[in-house]
Amino acid sequence: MTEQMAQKPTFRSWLQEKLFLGKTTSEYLKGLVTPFNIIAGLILAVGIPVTVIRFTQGLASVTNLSDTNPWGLWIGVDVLCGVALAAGGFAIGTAVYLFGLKDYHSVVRPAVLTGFLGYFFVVVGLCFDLGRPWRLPYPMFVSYGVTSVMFLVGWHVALYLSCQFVEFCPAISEWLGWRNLRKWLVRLTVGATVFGAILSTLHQSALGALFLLAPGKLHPLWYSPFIPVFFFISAIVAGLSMVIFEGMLSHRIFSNQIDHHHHATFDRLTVGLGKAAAVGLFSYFCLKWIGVAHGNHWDLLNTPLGHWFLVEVFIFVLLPCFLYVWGVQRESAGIVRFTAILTVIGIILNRVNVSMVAFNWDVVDRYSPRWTEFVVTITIITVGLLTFRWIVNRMPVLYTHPDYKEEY
Amino acid sequence: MFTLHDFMHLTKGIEYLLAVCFLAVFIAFWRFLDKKKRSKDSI
Repeated sequence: MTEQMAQKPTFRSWLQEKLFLGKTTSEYLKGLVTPFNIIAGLILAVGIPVTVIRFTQGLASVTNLSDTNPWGLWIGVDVLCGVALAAGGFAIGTAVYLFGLKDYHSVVRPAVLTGFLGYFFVVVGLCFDLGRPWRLPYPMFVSYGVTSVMFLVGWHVALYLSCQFVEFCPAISEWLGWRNLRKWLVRLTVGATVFGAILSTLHQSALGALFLLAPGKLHPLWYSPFIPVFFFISAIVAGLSMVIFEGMLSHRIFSNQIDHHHHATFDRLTVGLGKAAAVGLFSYFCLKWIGVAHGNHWDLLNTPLGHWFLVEVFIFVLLPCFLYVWGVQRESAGIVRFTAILTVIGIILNRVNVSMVAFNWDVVDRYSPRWTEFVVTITIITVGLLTFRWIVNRMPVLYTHPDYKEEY
Repeated sequence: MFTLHDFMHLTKGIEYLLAVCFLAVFIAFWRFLDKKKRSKDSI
């Protein structure tokens, strides 16, 4: 009896194991003093006061937004780039659960976690821009706007976050040891993946469709009736590239969690993802030119913004496409990883161009972000990274839980 | 170009030509991308 009582974990020991990784509180706190955490702490030390100022003093106190330029860095980077780069979740989930590419199973959970956290912090960034965060559920329950693309985006992000959470819940239940719940959650995976793919197709393109409403404001080389298709295809490419990039970082930083088999197969999976991204980039490149032809804007290519358009399309779309092909031909994961970084930069550049550089391109009152807007964006990204690290250090994301190895 | 019809004729024409080229070049691109795997499979 005494032996059984000694073996039964107390709530405190369970908490210590799950939250503090088995360390005592003082050991855990000592372990937090690392260069990354110090830098993150400094970023938060500046970001939190700026957040308080934003929500107490209003947008004008921390941004250069105006009636002419209502969308700025927070929409351009936090929302548009965030949603595009979080597309890996649906891309990999679809590949594994719907297309049957079981080889990529080891990257599903990191991709789904990246997608979930990406969308979550997109909503956080959106709250900064909109203000009144307590009104976030309004489009769901109070005030519909069925003629608005933003209404669709709001609904989709809320539903897709739920989908990604359901897809990630098996990892949470494995961490907490809830076997029965895990059994039910795993059965929901395929349905959640199908629903997630449908939602993603719509809202990734809907973010581009937002700009259909402003043909006079967006530069003709970026504006096209096909902009929803551009956004959707580039989102797939962005998601795959982010999975490659995030996998590269995770395999270095969390290498102790990953078993030998996953380390050995990782390069092959990377090259496979690069192949898919190459196809996406090639299609995207060709469609961009069809978009230019649709508006007959060839003469605009020889203007300053036209040159910038050519830089975006040739250096950050066509060049990564060929680099991916080269990496796949040589089966070189190193080339594919470098190209993934270039592609991610290219997608960020495209979203920044559409939302800021080429938007209101011919008005006198041009927008440029204030330093506090950069602080908020960097703070949100930092909190996202810290959350990702917290989850990966505790839950079976990069490895298969020993109790369920036979399932994979 | 004098009329909207002229404009549509020209732009749609170039667009369709580009789209057909894309479809043809895509096949070549895919075969080029898959070249190493196909040569490995044939050995």
